[in-house]
Amino acid sequence: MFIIDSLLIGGLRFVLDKVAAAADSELNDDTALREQLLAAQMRVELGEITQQEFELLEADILRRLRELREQRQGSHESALSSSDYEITGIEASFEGDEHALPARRR
Amino acid sequence: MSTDPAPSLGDALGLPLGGSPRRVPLRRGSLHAVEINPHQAFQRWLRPRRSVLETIALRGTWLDESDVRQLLRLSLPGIDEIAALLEMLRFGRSRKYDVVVVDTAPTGHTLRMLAMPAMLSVVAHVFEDMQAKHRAMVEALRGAWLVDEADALIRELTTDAQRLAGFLRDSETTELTLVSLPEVLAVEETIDALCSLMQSQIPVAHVVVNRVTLPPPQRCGWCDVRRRAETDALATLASRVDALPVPRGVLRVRLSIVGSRESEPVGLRDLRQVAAELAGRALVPRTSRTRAPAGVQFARLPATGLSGSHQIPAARLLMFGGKGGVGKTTCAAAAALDIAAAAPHRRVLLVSTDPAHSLADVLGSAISDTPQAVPDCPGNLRVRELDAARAFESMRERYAASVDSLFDRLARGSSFDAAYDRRVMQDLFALAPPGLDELAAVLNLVALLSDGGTDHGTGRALRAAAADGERRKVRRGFDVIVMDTAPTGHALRLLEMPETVQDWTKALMSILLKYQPVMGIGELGEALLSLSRALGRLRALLSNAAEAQFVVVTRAATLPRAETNRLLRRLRVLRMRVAAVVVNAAGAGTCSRCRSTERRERREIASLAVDTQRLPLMLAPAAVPPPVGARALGTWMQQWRTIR
Repeated sequence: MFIIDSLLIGGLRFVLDKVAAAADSELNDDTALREQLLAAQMRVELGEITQQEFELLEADILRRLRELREQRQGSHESALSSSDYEITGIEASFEGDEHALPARRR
Repeated sequence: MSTDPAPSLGDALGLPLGGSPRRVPLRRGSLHAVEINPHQAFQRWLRPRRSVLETIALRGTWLDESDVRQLLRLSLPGIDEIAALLEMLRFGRSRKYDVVVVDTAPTGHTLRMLAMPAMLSVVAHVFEDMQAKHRAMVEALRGAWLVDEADALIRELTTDAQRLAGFLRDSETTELTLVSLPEVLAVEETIDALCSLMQSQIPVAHVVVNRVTLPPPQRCGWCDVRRRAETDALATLASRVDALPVPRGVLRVRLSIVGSRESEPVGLRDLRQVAAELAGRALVPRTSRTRAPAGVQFARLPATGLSGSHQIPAARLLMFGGKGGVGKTTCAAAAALDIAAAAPHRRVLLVSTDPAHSLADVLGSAISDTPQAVPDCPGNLRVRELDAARAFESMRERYAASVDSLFDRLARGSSFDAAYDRRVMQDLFALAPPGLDELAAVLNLVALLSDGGTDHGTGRALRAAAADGERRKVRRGFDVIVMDTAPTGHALRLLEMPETVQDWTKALMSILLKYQPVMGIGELGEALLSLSRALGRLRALLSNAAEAQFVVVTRAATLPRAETNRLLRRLRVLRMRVAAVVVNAAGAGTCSRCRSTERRERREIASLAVDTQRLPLMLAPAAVPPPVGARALGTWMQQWRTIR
């Protein structure tokens, strides 16, 4: 059983490594941030964090998303509201390919 | 044994009953009686099997011990049907009893229960999938597999499922009796049940029509009209049963009647008389000789209370519930028509969530799962009979897609083989859960009450989860929803369901969050989040007295009153506001038998008035034939009286 367990862990390890390695990719930053926002929303629903804590997190994430957007588009953007970023689904790829498909945005 | 979640068996026997069989004092023979306790029954089954189930879940999924424990602690929707099956297995196998007589839950849920052995097979299959992955790995490592406890449990479930399914279909071992009333709605429900059972190849031995009015002691206009209408209903039943295609080798269904008594049979002596009658009086179908007067005849109501002004408040959600057969559907339909007519600017939805729908019969018009206008009814009224299986199917398709995408992500490029997990997940999603009808009703309410969603885009996932054709409605919404529920026991389950589903949703959310670094959350997380929020809103609505109210329908008789009191107690615990108690089918004619009936009714109503304290209390007259269609329902409602 232990051998199997470590094989599994190995598999998970592989995936986690990929996530870490892709950290610089602007695509995964965007995706990861949006996931973080969704996770924060879920945590406040579960009562794991307070509404105040959530609002702080949300403000921080939106700020970073905005910075990311400005970096990419190189123009002045007005303040983003959370409705600009509808979390609908993530298509991050864990393959070796660094130039993965762009995230679907609705 | 009674498997009804709102049992009346103890009331009928005149003995207090509980979850363990107790002896019924007889001079000859041995009889025990029990009203099953679903939670106890399930825990009794689960206790010795819990650790094996945990093992199967741990091996078969990527969940860990704390995840599995968390899930196994949650309460199950459809617990009544599960427990009914388990107790039938337990007592059927016990050497203490040679014969088991089952007083089942009302039609709709008993049909669900009878379909459960098939579901048990699927559960065993899902466990087999989970076990298969483990077995493959062990075989790969050790080169061999030794059968273990998990295999034994899976085999037990599979065998039990097959045995039970066979047992129910074998007329040597099982005899199913349908009990009806000599009224159009009851007859229709009975015919529907017969067809459904025939399709499942479960043979029905006997149909008993109860409470048939016998000839009056003197001439009585009311009794005559009543008997004519009943004769017609019986003739309909007999001819429809005759017309059913009977499979070769199956005996014809035996039809018999039991006469109405002056007072309800309660206690052993009364019940023995009923038994004697059950053995004897066959149904002789006749068409009535004289023509019935046109239109609906109303009984004379006992001279109490103010006539006319009845006020059923138009809360956002108005639920009608009560004992089976008292007239919930008729009252709900009449109220919906009244509310719609009184406020033409409001959009009113009349929806039935009882799996044994009767709305179409009451309105005299075909009704489907899509809200529709009905001829002769106010233009602002829409009517719907909720198709639970279809609602669940569309929800399942929605989530199956996001679970699939979850596994796509996991599988791509990693050495982790998710083939088994994906199959397990898909099999799980193929299950229609017990408690399907309550689940679908709650999800439907959630969709109906969402005003286009104010959450950041997550409302979209929720709207997508509602059935197709609901989208436009959801955006506009209904101002008033009048809901005809299943009988008492399952109406209460319905009210408990939002909390149960929210507990499950939150448990799944916390598991997703836990595995976020590996799998991400994605669409499934988003959908669960919207669902949890919407359920929170629904729960808030249900306990808001101004927004959601319950109307209890009953009759002026002992067993319905006892059940009503228990229902009112449970509604208080659930913090559900009761708008009114309606005593239906009250009143009688002029013969001495009718007058004594009336006296008894008056006593019952007086007791009920004391039991219900300050609640608004209304009387609705007995009507022959029962009002069908908008016009008749409107006329009938004009005859209601307010007592308090």
